[in-house]
Amino acid sequence: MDKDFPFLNEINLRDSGIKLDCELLNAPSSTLIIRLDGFLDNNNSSGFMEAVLKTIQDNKDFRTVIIDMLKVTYISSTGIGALSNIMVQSRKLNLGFYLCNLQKKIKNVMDTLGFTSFFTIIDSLKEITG
Amino acid sequence: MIKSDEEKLSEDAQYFRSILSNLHESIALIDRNYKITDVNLTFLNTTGFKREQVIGRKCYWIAHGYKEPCNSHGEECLLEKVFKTKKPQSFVHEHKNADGSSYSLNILLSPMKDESGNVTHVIKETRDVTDLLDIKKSLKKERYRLSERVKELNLLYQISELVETTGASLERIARVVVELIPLAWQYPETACARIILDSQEFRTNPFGESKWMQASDIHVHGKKAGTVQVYYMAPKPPEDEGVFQKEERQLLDSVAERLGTIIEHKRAEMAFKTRLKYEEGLARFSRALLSEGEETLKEALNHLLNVSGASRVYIFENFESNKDGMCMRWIIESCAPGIKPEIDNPQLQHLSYKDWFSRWAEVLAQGDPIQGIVTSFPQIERRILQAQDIQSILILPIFVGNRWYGFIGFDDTQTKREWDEEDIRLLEIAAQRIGIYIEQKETAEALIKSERKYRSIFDESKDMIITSSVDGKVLDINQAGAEMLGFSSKSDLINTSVENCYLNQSDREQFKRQMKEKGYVKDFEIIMKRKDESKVVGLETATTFEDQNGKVIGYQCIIKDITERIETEMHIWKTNMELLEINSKLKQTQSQLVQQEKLASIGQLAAGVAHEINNPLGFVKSNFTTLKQYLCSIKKYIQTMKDFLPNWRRTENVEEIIKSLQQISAKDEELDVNYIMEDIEGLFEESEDGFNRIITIIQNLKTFSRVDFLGNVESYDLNKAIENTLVVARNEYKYAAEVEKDFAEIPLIECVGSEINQVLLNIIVNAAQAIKSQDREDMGIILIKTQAVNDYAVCKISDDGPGIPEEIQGRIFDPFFSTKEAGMGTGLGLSISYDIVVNKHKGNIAVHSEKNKGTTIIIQLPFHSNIKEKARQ
Repeated sequence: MDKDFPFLNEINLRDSGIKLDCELLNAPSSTLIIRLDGFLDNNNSSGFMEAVLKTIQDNKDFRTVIIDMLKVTYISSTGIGALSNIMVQSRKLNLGFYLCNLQKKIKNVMDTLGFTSFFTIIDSLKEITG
Repeated sequence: MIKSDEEKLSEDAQYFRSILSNLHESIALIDRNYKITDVNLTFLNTTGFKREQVIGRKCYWIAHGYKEPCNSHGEECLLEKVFKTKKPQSFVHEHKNADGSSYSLNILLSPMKDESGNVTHVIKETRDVTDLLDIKKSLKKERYRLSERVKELNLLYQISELVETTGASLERIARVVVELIPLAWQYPETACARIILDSQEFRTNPFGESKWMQASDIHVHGKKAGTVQVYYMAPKPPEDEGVFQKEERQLLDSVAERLGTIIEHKRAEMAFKTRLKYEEGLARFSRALLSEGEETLKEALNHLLNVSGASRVYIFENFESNKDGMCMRWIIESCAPGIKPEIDNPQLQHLSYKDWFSRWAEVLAQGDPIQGIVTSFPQIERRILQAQDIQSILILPIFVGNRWYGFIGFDDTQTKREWDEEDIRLLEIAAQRIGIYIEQKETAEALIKSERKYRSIFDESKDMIITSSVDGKVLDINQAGAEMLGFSSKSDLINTSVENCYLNQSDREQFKRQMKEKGYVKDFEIIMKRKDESKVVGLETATTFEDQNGKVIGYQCIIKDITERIETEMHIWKTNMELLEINSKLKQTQSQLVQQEKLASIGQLAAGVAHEINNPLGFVKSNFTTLKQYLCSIKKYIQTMKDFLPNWRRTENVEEIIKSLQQISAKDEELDVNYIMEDIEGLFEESEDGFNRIITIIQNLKTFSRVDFLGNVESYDLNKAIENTLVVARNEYKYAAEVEKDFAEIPLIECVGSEINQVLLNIIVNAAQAIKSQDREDMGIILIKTQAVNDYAVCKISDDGPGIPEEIQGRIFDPFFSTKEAGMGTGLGLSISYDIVVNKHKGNIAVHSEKNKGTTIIIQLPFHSNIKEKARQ
């Protein structure tokens, strides 16, 4: 875990059901990759969202934010809301925002709730990082 | 040799004498005159007399030392009897020895007859039986003593037997024992006895007091409880030592002790029996309390009535009355046969403690009983109690938990009873049980209510309430739950697998994982599918439930249908994101529009400025034309002068000169040079003024539009800026309104001047246009007032125009809102002004308007805003 992201670090200290791991890529542009592990439910989503928002508002040099959902086993509507909000704020800051490596069940939920079309979902990080 | 008869006789006498002498018995021969005629050797040996001392002496002297025959000493002389009856006599007699010691003799008196059968002598055959008699005597004494002891033992044995064999009452035992006692005494026929126990007395029959009395106290647990007494009703034979034997005294003590022990045992037994009776009664009472039904308490009270032996047992309940404070009311009672029930006594339904039983309230509330004989109670209490014929009473408080609920009472209407401590203690247990019973009843009622409530919550809940086993079998589900899943009845779901309801099995797995880790889930969102495969989003809160061993056997879940909420939420998110798109487009459009508005302002401004410049320019131009004509005239005049001057040098011809001068003069007059010269000055002055005005306008315009510093923060002089703006706007208002200024001294403001100017212009032009819209004949008034208030510069721009209708006042700052005709305005003027003042400069803009009186726009600008930093960004 990169020490530069105190807000995200804090999430790992809580026993909220979600852990995350961050990576900062500098090529082709400054890209923050947040790898999630666990579940995003009604109780931990807003904390997660706030941490991500504070992080992207704090670091002006980010160009792209990627949430890697490979190890996310469950997502609630609030979780989707949190991701939506992160996307909206990213847009305002002119950041690219992508979801990546969604498990089928997570994709199902997002499909069910009709959200898949709003997010830019990529199958693998390579699509962005080359 | 043949002996003679005499010889023979003498030989025989010798022979018999020798036998006689050697006989172990002492033998004496006594004649009718009591004279001893012969004795044998044993006689002499045993008596110690010598032969010569005895022979010829009287027998009573030898035997007893008497001087007269025994008869005269009051003793029967058996000797005479033998002489008289001619029959032998045997007796035991006591004789004295020579040394005076006495000895017992077994005496056989045999008659010695002569030939004619007359008794001549008595042969007294004596055997010393002193030893034998002594042994006999002591044997007899021992036997007597033994028989006495046996009598005593018998008494004690009988007492023991009496106690052991029967469940005899203490009274019966005392009655029997008292009769047994005399039998153990030495002289039973004259002995009598009495047992005094507390107030009771038990006597033998017959009984009589006498001076020959012995007594022993009965002690029970170390305390004197009574006495047992023995009397001899007649004197005892004199030979007995003392009135009572030592053994008898001991026996009496022993009897008293035994009686004490018996009383102790009997009392213990009685207490035990009472206790047993109470316990049995209480057990029946408790069992009765356990049964269900309306009559439970009544039944239980019946048992208490039986066990306590009271006339009436009843319960009163406390209640609070607004008027009388703490009161009691009759609840239930049980009466012995023949006792008047108090069920219909209306007084007992509302009895104030304060008025009647304040003492009771105090004692009972502390958990103590009240008991006693009613006559010893305070007057006020007696009035109520005696009205019910109560002689004695026991009142025990009933507590429900810590609350003093009321009391149970035991009345005796027939007897005055002092309640035994043990009875009270046992009945207190009953009172406690009643307290527990009432508590349980109240709890049960509360439980039923709460069960009913929870049942109705379960049944009526609009949320799904479902219990399932760990492996997912539906154990119970409410109607709302069934309907949420599209089933008409919950029976369609019970015993099916709850996992069928999950759209994604992963949700169920996630749920189970959390249940396992935490034992509960809260606000867990699941997507379920209905019977028709449509989807329901649920918010699940669940807890585990366990069997007796603490093993988790299932889950209790409440699931709220949040499908609609989620749809709305999702819709909002989608809308948000669509808005995001629109917003970014709008932003572009807005900047274009703002630009347009700016252009429009510039256009307006240009028009106004052009008009302003046009006027001075007009007269400057006119002056210029006049000056041009004047120059022409002057030129002509100068030409005339020039034409003359060369001739004047060459000719001396005065006339010609005069003629020329006349020509010049005529020209002067013709051209009106003097006027021209005068007018020229005025024209120049006027033109200069015109130019100055134009220059001022241009400068104002320059200042106003800040072309040089557009967008930069500067120190801004509000008053000066208003002046500049008025110049620029003059064309808009000058024919419609007078401008009145009321300027205070205003410190410089940090702001973007060009933007504030735009605001001022907007408002002033609006004011002018409002006045113009009225078609009025008089001039309107635009009043501009500046003030410095705290950290703000305040500018109030008022017109006396028609005012803004109230219904649109709230919208005047909205973008694109305009009351002007199409093409007259963009509808962005005030909106942009608002944005400039409020958003960019953190100031305020407000409107006050009254119909037909005019409108005031108030602008507040902070002297120091952080606009500098923002502007730099």
